Amino acid sequence: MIELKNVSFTYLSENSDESSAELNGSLSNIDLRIEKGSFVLLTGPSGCGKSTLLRLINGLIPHYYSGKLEGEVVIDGEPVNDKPLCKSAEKIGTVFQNPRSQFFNVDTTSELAFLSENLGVEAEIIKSRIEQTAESFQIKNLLDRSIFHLSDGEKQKIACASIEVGKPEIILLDEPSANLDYHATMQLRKLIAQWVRQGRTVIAAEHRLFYLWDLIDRVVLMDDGKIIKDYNKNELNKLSDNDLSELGLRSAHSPAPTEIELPVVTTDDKTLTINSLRFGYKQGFFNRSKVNNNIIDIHNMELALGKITAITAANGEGKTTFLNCLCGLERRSKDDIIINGAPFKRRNRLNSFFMVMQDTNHQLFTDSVLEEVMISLPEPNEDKALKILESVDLVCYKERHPMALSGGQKQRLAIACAVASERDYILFDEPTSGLDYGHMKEIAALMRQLRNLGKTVIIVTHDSEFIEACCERKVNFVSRG
Amino acid sequence: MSNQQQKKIIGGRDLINIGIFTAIIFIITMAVMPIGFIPVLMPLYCVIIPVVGGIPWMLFATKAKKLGMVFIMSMLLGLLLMLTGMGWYALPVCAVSGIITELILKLGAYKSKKHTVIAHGVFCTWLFGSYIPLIFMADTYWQQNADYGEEFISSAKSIFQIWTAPVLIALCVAFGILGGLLGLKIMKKHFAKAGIV
Amino acid sequence: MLKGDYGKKSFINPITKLVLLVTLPAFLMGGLGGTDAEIFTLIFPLVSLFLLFISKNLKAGMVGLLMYIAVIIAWSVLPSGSDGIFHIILFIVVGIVTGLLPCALMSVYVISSTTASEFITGMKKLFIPDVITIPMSVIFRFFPTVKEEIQAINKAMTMRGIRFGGRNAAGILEYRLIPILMCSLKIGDELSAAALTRGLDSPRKRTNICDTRFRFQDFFLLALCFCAYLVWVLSLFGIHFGEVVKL
Repeated sequence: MIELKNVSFTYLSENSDESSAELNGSLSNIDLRIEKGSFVLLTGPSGCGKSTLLRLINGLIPHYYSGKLEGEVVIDGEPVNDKPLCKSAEKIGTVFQNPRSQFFNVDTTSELAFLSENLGVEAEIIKSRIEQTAESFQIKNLLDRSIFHLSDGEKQKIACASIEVGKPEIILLDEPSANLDYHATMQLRKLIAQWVRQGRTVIAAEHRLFYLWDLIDRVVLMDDGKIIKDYNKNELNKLSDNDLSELGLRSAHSPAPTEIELPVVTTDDKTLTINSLRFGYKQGFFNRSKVNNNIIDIHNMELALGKITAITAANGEGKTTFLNCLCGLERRSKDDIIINGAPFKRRNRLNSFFMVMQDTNHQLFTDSVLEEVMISLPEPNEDKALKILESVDLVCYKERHPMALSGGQKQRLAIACAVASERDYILFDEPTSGLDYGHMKEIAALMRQLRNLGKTVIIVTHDSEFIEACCERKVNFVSRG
Repeated sequence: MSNQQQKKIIGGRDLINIGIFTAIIFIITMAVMPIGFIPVLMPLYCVIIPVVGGIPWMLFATKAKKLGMVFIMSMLLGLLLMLTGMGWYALPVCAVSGIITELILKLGAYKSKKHTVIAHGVFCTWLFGSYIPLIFMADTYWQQNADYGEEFISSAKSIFQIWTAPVLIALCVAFGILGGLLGLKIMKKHFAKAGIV
Repeated sequence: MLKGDYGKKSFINPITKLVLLVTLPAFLMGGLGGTDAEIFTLIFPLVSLFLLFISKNLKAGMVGLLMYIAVIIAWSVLPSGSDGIFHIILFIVVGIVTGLLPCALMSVYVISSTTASEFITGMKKLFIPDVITIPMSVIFRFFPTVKEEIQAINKAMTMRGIRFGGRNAAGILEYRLIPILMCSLKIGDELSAAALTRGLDSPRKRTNICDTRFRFQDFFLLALCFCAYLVWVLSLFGIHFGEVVKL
C-alpha cells in the first residue's frame, strides 16, 4: 500500500534561493492512499503536479530533484524519504515520457538486464527473466538491437519490458503515450493490461484517457497541486465525454484516427497534387543490415489548398519522413508534385513550406521570444512581430527565453514563427503530443486562425479529438501505396 | 536539500553528467582535429578548441560541485586521446592539468565565476598532450614519418621546437580563459535567462 | 558509428576488444617499437578488417579493404623520392590509411559489436574503476544522440532559411551550439533520473549477463598484442627484433 500523508513539495533549483522557487508542478497538502493491486490514473492539466506525485513515490524526490518537502510518503510501512533510490528500484519500476532519454544502454538486451545487473541478481536468473518477458510482451524481434534503430513505439515497449524484467510490485507510468501514435498506444495498452491482470499496483499520469479507460479502478483528478476529485470505478462509469470536457479532460472514448470520416478533397477544392513521391534508402549490397522503415512510395495524393488537412496513418511509419520530403528537406526524394498546373520543385517548396516539428526545442534558436519571431520575418519589423505574438497570446512573454516557456507555449511560438515567415503552407508534426485538453483546444483554435489567414495547413496527427476539433479534410496515409 | 548534495560524494547522476559533457567537448575536439593533417596548422587546436569548449565548460561547472568531477573528465579526455592514437603521453598531462584545475576550483569553493574561468585556462592544457611526441620526441617522430618529404618536415620541425612548448601551453591558457569568458557571457544570455542554471 | 544491429554473440571477449582498442593506436599511430615493430603495422590492420568481416559489418570492411588495397597499389606503382606537393598529399593519404584507418575500423568494430553490459564487465575485469567506466559508457551512448540532435537542428535551420548565418561566424556557432547544449542537458537530466530508478547507484556487486569466457581466438589475439609489446620493451633495452630475426 502507498500512503501520502499531508505531503507538500516545492521545487527549488540548485543555485537559487527560496524566493525564486518554481511553482509549476508543486504540491500542497496531498493525502492519498493507494491500495495494493489497484490501477490508479492521475490526471489534470499540465503542471498540476501529477508527475511530481509519481516522483515522490519512486523516490526521485527528494533524492534527485531537490526542493522543500513536508509530510511523509510511506510504501508498505516504510518511509520513502530515508530510503536510498536503489532500494526503491527493487520494488518500483518507472516508465518515462520521453523514449529518447530513458535508456542508459545503446542495445536493447543490455537495457533489459540493466536494472537486475545493478541490483546484483544472478546472471542465469536475469537471462531467464529476459526470455520470459520477451515471450509475454512479444518483443523477441526487438532483442539485441540498437535503440537508435527503433521507433518511438518500440522504444516504449522496451522501456516497459526493462521494468518487467525487474519484477517490480509497483509500476509508475509518466505520460508513457505522449510521443506515440494510435497504433503504438494500443500496443502499450496491451502491456499495461497484462500488469493490471497480474494484480500489480499501477499508477499512471496521463492526459490521454481513452486507451486506459476500461482498465482503470480509480481516477485522481488534480489541479494546481491539489487533489480536487477522486472517482471510483462506479462513479467513472457514469461520466460522459461531456462531463470530462467540462472537467478539462480528454475524451475517454476516442475512435481510431483512421476511422474518423472527413472528405479527402471536395469538388470545389483547389488542390496540390502529388503525382508521385518516392524516397527510401537504397537496398544495396552494403546496406543490408539497415532497417528500412522509412521507405516512401506514394502516388496520386491530393491535398486541399486553404484548408486544414489531417494526415493519419494506421501505424506511424514514415509520416515524419513524408513531411520532410514534402517541404523539400530531403534532397534524395524523387517527386512529381503539381500546383496550379505547374510543377512544384523542391527548391521552391523549401521557400513556401514551414514545418512545426514535433520537438519544438530543435527549432527555437534565439534568446528571446520576440527575437525568434523577428528572424522569421522576411524583413525585421518589430510592430509586425508584436502583432503576431498578440495573435498567439504571447506578448506578455516577449522578453522571455524560448526555452523557459512551457510545452504549449513553445508550440504557439513556433506557430507565430510560421505566420511570420509569410509562407503559404504550414506543416505540423504531431502538434498536440503531450498536451492537455485546454492546450489542445488552444492549438485547434490557432489552426482555424491560420486557415482564415489563407494558409494551407497540413497536420500529421494521431489525436482523434484534435482532428474532430479542427480538421476539415483527412488523408489516410499509407507509406507505400 | 537532498542527501546526495549533502554527502558531496560523486554519485550516478554526476557520473552521467561527466559523461555527457566529456562527449560534447570531445565532439568539438574531433570536429577540429582534421586540420591537424596539415601539421603547420596544428597549433590552432590550442586556439579553437579552448574558445568553443568554454561554453560547455561553464555549463559543466554549474554541475560539477564535487571534488574530483573535473579530474575524472580530464582523465577521460586523456583516455579518448589515447584511443584516437595520440599516444600515452596525454594521460599524465591530463592528470596534472586535471589536478591543478580541481585545486583552482576548490579555491573558489566551486562557486566563484572568476576561478571557474581561470580554471578553464588550466584545464585546456589537456590538449598539450597531443603535441608531446612532436616536440620532445621530434627525431623519432619524424623518422617514422620521414615519408612526408624533407621540405615539409623541416618546416614542421621549425614550428615544433622545445620553445614552442611554453608557447602552446600559454596559448591554451590564454584562449581557455577567453573561452571561459565567452561561456560566461553565453550563460547569462541563454542559460540563466532560460532558467536552466 | 554504431552501425548495424548486434549479433547474438561476439566473436571475441570484451577484454580482448579493449586490449586491441588500446594496442592498435599505440603501434599504428603512436609508433611504439619503431622499425622493430614494423611487422605488426602490417598485421594489425588485417586483424581489424578480419574482425569487421566476421561480425558481418560488410560496409566498413569493404571500404577499409578497398582503401587499403588502393594505397598499397599506389605505393608500389608511383615513383618515390620526389618532393612535390602531390607527393606530400600522397604520403598524408598513406599515413591516414595505414595508421588512422585501421584504428578507426577497430573502433567501429568494437563499438558496433560490444553491448554496454559487455563493456562494463570488460572494464571491471581490467580493474578500471566505475568512475571511469560509467561516464565512458555514457559517452558512447551519447555520441549518436548528439548526432541525432545536430541533424534535427540542421534540418530546422534549413527549413527556416535562417538568415543570420551570414551575419557572423559567432552567430552560427551560437545558434547551433546552444540548442545542442540545451537538449543535451535535458536529455542528461532525464537519463540520470531514469538510470537512478533502475538502480545505477546500487552499492551491491554488479552481475552481468554476458559471456566472458576466453576462447581460442581471444588467446591468439592477446598473444599477438603481447608479442608487440614485448618487441617494444626489448627495443628499449637495445635488443632489436629486426636484427634478431636476421641472425
